[in-house]
Amino acid sequence: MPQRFKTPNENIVYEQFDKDLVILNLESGQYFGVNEAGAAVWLNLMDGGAPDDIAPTGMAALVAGFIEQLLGFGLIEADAAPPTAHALEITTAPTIEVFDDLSDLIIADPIHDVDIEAGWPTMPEQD
Amino acid sequence: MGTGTGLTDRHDVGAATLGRVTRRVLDQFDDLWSDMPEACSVTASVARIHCRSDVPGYAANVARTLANTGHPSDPDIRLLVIDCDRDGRPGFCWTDRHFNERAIEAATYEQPLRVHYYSPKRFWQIYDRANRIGIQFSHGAEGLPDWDSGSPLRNFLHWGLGSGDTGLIHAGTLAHGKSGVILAGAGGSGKSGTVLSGVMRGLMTVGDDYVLADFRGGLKLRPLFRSMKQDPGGLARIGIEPAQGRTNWQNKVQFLIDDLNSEAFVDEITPRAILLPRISGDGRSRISPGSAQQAFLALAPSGVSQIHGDRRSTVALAGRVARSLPCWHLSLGTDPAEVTRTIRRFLTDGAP
Repeated sequence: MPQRFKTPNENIVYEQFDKDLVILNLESGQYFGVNEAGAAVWLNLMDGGAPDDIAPTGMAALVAGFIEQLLGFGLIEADAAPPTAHALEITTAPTIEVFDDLSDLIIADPIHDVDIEAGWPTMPEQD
Repeated sequence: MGTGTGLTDRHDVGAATLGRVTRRVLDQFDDLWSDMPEACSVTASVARIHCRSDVPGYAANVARTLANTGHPSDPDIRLLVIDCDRDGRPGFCWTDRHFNERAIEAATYEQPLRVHYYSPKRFWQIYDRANRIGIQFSHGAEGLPDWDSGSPLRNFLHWGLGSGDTGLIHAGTLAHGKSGVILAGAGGSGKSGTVLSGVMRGLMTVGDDYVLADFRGGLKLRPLFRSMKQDPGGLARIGIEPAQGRTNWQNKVQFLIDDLNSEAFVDEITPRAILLPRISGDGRSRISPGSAQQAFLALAPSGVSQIHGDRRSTVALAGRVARSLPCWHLSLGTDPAEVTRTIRRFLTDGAP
């Protein structure tokens, strides 16, 4: 049965440039470079499609593997809603590269611990 | 506790109650506004900012540091800056075990409310986008974040001036006439030194750290702050000897662009390209093609780390700017005058 996917939360954002795509995980600080075929698969997923089900002949396994990578990176999760049909035309393997060289910048906003008794929130003392 | 509305009440808040409690405090805005002793009104490109404060000198610094130029077309914004240590004001108290700014951001994204909390200074900013009012709570004479003096009210400006077509970007700018470039890159890339050198040698700017990108009627860059900062070594390279003891928390000297060149600060630039500077150590500067992805990755991460509470908008704006302009790498030569000549030639003659 075709499976639909979605981004797990608002921390996953993406922007398209020409035919390629950059995905940012604002929580982990990682960013991902996706090639043209991967961008087509990603946008198909974001439109509610099930691209591994409609991939061109010979591409289904590559698309399925790509989706497994997206799941592994935490960029998508299963969506219970039924998929919608969108055409997918790719002629090369979808690929994704992960980078973390900007993570210090992207995640410069940590979760703060707080001390209720202090009246105002404070950082906890270091052990 | 936590049921009052005035500044003398302690406002207990957690993730589940933040919206309600914050709304209750913002509902008191007009009463609080009338009690504030210091006031200033300045133009931040497309809107008038009215600030009142009981933090000594705060309004004066806002008046000095904000661009105070432009043609306001958007409704006015009113901002209150409150010292919670005065008169025993306890202010907000976060009662959950953790403060997760991203979770708060996600919960308020579809609402008019924006919130920023900087725990080391117990510093809060809350803003109502619908009514264009905001309150900043700090804590005593040392209660402001280190970067606040150079770019006061920065988050409020992003929240207040930001729309689908406008928002703050973290970048430097230079222009020849009205035609300019965006300089994007992380700290240490040479961005500020390049702006500084250009300003000293007759190029124009709308700012170094944070500028307003405005897509209404075609992309324009507009100024928000007159301040710049540079390390003493960078100043020395262009022939400026800073006074001793004037460095900030980054060991950088903070000053106004007007101090360097009173003609350099303009109220609008039409950007023609994004330049990604990089200190090369080579004798001559070189300009080579870059990509929109590279421009995006130079703009977006530093933007989301420095402009709080609205990161999806910041990322989307960075993407739109990156798609709108050609991108070039600028390998910086060692001679600041030669770097400025290279940029001037790029602006007058086009890409190499």
